Amino acid sequence: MEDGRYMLFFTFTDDSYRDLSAGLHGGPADAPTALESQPAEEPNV
Amino acid sequence: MSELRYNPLLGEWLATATHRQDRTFLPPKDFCPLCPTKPGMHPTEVPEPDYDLVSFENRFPSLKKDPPEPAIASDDLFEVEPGKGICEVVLYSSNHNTTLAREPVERIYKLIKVWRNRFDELARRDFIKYVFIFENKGEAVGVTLHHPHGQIYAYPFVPPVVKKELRRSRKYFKKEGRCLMCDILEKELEFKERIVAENESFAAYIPFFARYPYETHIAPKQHAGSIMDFNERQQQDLAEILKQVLAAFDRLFNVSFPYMMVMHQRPTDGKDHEHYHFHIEFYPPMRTATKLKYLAGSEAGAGMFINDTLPEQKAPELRALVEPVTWAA
Repeated sequence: MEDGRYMLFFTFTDDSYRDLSAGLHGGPADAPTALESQPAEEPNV
Repeated sequence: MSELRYNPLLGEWLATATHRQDRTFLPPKDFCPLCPTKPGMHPTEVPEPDYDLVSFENRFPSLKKDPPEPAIASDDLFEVEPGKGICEVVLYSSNHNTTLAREPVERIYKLIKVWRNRFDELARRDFIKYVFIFENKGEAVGVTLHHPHGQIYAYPFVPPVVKKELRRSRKYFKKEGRCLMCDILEKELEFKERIVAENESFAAYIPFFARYPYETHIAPKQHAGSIMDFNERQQQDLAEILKQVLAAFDRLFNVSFPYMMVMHQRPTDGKDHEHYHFHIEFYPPMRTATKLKYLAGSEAGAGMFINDTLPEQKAPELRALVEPVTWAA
């Protein structure tokens, strides 16, 4: 967001869910797929 | 301004967050900041026309990941620290008028996935020592926004209630060689009268030591320290038992039942907490259809709760209202 806060959109398919936050930070709107683990760094902050 | 001040009498940190005085307070439905932003309508916190589940940093956080320096100097007696931490809001649904209790079990299952995701990511940050997942529901417990949502506070320390449970669990484990919560659960399952609902993986019960008339705990039958320890079957079973308890709450007095829901899990401070057992606790303030349980002098000032009811009498009431859960095909 403009004030530096992050916002994570979770969308669910058959057996997985995706974090669409990359779309808010310049990445493609429907990537990456985040199942159970997140990278150690702070990609959304 | 947000800062942490230490209470040397109690040995506890508290947060001051003066900016929260101006946070949105019970806005009319058309100006709900947690609804999706509809074309041509008032812009909200969520810049999308619809969503499934969303988690985002609170606009009015008690703790911030980049807090300012405290406005007052710290000394040996009056310690003060920047209010460092993370506060997230978790939106359960884009539907303003729903509640978790009214949602199908599939949505609760999705929420469990989101909780796992947030616990996992927040726990990886070095300055986060405890990830606290909770929900305040209903004006009776002080909610300021009615849109269905929960919260996550990622603290830079282990909060005092959990610290006390950890200490008690560790002591019991050293003495008995067993997990305290595993033994409590075993005894509740054996006694049966305080059980509210049960499935293969979890039990819900009003504990022997309940402080509120309908205080309900949910714990896994197999020892687990955090939500990350649950396999797929256990996550489904947790969704089912949550649905059963929440729906039974609403049936009690035919109202959208207010509660505080808190999740107690192992800290994320890198230390060994193998003796600690995951559980969820509900603190509903209603003691009858028309009366609330208040935290008054004895509870707030002395820390001794007075429960006007017996768990052995309240659990059967709630148990009678539990219905089977059906998953969509």
